[in-house]
Amino acid sequence: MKISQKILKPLKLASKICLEIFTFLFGVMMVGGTILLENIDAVNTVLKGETQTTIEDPDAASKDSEYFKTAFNSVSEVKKNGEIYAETIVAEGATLLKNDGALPLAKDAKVSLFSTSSVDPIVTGTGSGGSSGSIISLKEGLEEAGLQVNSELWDWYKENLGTYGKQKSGGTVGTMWTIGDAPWNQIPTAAKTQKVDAAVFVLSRSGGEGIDSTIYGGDKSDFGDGNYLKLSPTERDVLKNLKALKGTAFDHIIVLLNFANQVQLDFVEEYGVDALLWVGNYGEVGAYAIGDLLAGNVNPSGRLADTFWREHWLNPVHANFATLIDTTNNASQWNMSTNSKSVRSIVYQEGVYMGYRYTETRYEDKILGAEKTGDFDYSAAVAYPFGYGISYTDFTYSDFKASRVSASGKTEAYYDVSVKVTNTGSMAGKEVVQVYAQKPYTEYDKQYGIEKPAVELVGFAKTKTIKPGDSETVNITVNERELATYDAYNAKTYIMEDGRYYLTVAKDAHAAVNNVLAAKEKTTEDGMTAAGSKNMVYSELKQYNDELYSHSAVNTDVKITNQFDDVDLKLYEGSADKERLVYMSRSNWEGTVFYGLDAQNNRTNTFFNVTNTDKMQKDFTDNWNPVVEGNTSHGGEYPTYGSTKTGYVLADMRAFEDGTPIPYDNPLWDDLLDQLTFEDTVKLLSCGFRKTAALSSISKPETIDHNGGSGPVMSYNVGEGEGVNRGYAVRTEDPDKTKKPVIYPCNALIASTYNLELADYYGRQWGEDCLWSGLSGLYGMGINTHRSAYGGRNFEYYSEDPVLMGKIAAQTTKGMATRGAYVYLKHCFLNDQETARCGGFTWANEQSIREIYLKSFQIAIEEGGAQCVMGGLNSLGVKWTGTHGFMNTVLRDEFGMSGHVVTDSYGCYNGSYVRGVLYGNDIPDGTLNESKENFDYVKDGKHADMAWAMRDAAHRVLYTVVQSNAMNGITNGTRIITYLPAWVYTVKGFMIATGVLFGLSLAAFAVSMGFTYQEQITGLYNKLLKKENKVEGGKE
Amino acid sequence: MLEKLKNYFKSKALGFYFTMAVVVLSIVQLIVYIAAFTPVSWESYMHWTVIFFSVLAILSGIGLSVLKVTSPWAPAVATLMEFLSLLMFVRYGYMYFSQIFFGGISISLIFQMYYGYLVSLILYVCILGVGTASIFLKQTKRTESCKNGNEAVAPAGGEV
Repeated sequence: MKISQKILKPLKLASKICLEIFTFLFGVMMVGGTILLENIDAVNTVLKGETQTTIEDPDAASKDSEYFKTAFNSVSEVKKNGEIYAETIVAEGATLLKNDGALPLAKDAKVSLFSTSSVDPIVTGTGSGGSSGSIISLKEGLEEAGLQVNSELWDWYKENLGTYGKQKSGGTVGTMWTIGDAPWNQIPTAAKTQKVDAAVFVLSRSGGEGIDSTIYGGDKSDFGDGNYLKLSPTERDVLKNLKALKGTAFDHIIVLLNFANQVQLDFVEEYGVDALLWVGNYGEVGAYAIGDLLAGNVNPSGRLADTFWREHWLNPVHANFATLIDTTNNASQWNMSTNSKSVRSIVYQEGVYMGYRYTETRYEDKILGAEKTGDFDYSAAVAYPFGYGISYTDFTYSDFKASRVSASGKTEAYYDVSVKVTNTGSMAGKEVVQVYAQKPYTEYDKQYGIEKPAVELVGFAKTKTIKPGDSETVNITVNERELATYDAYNAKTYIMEDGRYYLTVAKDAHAAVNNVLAAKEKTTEDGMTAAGSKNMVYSELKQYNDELYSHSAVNTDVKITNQFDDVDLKLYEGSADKERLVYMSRSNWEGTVFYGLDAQNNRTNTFFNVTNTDKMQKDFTDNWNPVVEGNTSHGGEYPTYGSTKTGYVLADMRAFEDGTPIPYDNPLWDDLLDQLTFEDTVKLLSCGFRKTAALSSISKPETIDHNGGSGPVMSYNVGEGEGVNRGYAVRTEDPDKTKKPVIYPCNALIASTYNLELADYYGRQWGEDCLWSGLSGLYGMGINTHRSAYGGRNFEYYSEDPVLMGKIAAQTTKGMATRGAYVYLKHCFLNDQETARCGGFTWANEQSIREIYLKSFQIAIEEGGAQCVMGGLNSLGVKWTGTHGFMNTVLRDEFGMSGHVVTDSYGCYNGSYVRGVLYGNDIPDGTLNESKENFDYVKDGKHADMAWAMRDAAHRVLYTVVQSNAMNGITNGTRIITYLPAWVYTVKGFMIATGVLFGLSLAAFAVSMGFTYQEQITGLYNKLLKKENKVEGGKE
Repeated sequence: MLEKLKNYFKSKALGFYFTMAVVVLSIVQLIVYIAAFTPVSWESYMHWTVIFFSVLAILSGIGLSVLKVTSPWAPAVATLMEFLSLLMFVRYGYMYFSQIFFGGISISLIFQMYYGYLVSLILYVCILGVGTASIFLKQTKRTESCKNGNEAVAPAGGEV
């Protein structure tokens, strides 16, 4: 067949173009499709494809399967209740720090609101714990309280917000902010000089996931000396001009401190500020509470959950914090990048001396005249101490009593502390009573590297509202165990030491240490900032005992001993810094306190530079290996898989016939677990992207577990469409199901209430949100520590103090549990900064770990019954939190945690998730990337340890779920059928279609090439023939 | 010899130099990939198929270009191999993207990406761009005899 060139050329071109296009599409579909199919669960969470069907129990009507009932009838009711609690938290948590007669304002007082933040406040943080939505403005809040607002000024700020307001950049995670604000000379004179009663300046700062507040090197045109948590030049100028107007345009200057990341308070006296009210990130409706507080409708009763620094550079934790740690040094040592997963070391060199534990201890030593106290000026460092807060009335303490109650039966010894609180002022209000302990600092401590803060919070309570002249006696129980100290270097357990122990009630940490100093016969003549009250101090002598509290409080047969030697550079066998590293010590403040910045905000590079060793490299590398050798568990015998002896479904494991929950260790569980196939187990442990996976074989429903470090943030119909949502909003087709829960205030505000009862009810409200939105698990609360004011996620965390944080979190957990919602306390642990959080090596000694950084988790688990945690992305030493092992040895064995552990964002850490299962890390926050790591090797029959670890992990997940609201509506007659979502077939279809088109275009191209060759060969043949004829002709 | 080489390059058209650019860029890409993904913390994103297809691209780019009869195939084969290398690069490295962009994509995050990813992606884009252009360009000039009306042998996959 012959085709003319006119047809062949375009045909060839067309087939070539088609081939290129379909080769490209086919390639993209093959790889893209494979990636999508590898991550079905994660993708489906976004696409909301239906994955399961529930076949209802035919006898459902005769069974009550609403195991967790709501107290409300609609989303609007739930949300309204949320608003009430969110407002109450701000009303009780906002903390009055200074008041020179400016507050409360008269009922009809008029105020001018200054700063662009007044019209654009920070009500939440950014990242996974943040929320969004419309909010009640400050103007609305203040007017609702009866105050008047200078509308001219308000309107001007609103109109010019785009020009002068703060700007954000970066993604949802890693959001960066400018400070902005309108220069004084740009504000219309008539508006800013309008005669009002008070000028209210709103000072805001934001914070969020993925990035810490800039401590160094920020934009100096905006941040002054490059530090985000200082007043900017523009803000200073506005305050300076306000001071100049004071007495003419208004009588008072009030500053609202609108942040969870504390701005240093070095400006208060300089600019003549009369009143200072910290309001935190106050949420959607907090403006109402602020109005009430300013107007005196509510008497402030919040107390600081953190030390408020006058100068941040005087906080020694910054020697080893965030960007003040050299950004290249460790990375270059390890020859690795710091861009994705970090290998940078963060050394908690301050040990236990963080926050008030540092300031108050050094202060006490200064007063006591201890050696090597060095140059320390308490007032220069601290603006307001931990626990501080004032109100519109006065409270006096009397009749302080403390007595030891000996151990009896299972109850350990404790102290009964009581004090009578009298309202001596003229307005009804609530008071916070704080109990602090001081343990003796002994020669033994100096010898064995134990440190003792001057005071530590061991208990607290909030009174009811006390009317003027009335009193309330407050009783607080303090467990004697709180007085034990962790001795990591000698006894390797908790010890009680020889010496005098003190208990005191006080209004804040500084007052507490002053009370103890008073008991030690010190006065203001010795340099004390204020006199203490020795009448508020109890003391007793104790003797050394390393047995009494050397066992777990909840599992008394579990001996407590060192579990974190590999996190302490003084004990880790791979450390080359055992001698070189010096922790902060009160025996030598001069030689052990380092500052990361100088007074001019220059870096001092005093961070501890960890030496890399071969052992570290080896441990780090091992931690990546998904294959865990070990075949000794159960004598090398594998668990039974796919048993058909019993036919249980998960609902059978919920409760006995009398309603008593079936315990975790009941043999019935073995039968159910035997029914699981290996593939079932793998599925359960491979898919945890904001859920736990469904299993048809035992009719386990899929759960929705979602973000909410400081309260639920997802809409009430979050799981709708996937066939998994049994939340009331979807089940009742509530018209408001697409709405979100109220934007809750930052967690520091609930901590600042010091109100355990309120925390419980707050938890119930979060539980209701979960019930209505179908959430069974909440990725929260965030209970990492406010180690520094610059921590990006401080808005999700509560406090610098583990006892305050732990007890509030425990109560909130209990409240949520009443609605069948389980918490994932996060991020466990030493994940206290955002810089280098993805895999950064965190180093700390075991005393600081147990007495501070893990203690909040311990209290929430032991006292609140928290079932689950989310592991940190960081590494403990060089091992990722998930492969370290503490989840089994400490969280479960010592603290008694019963549920499962989820990783933080899957893969964003330095280690293997599969390996982590052996170490008690149960599900990934993501979908297992099987091409990188999988459980296949376990099938060879030679990895019994891993096989049993997988079964234990499955057991924990199932146990958590069966006791949760995920079982609402599910009985032992309900069947859950799982299947692939429809989009999966679409993807497969596209893969096949592009393959076919690729094949066809290849064939078309081949055909066109065939014709080309035919042409060419014919042409060549003709040419040769011509040549031959010529030659032959010549011969002729 | 020098003369022969001169003549050889004289006979090459623009497409040949584009193909050589593909080869050079592929070599750079290969070096960057190996250097960037050999360290322990990055090796989990590394895969032999990326290197395999990249090497094939280089070899085919050079090998097929040498002979006049095969040179028209060189850009297509080299580009195809680099495309496959890119696909494998994405296939075995996508977790990185999900990690760095899990809070949303932004320009600043793109520039914060690990250099191994950023440089590799830029190089792949360049290679595929140059390679695609090269496919549609002539690899060799027409010879004098062709100009004089003789039929040039235009092997399969050649100029259109």
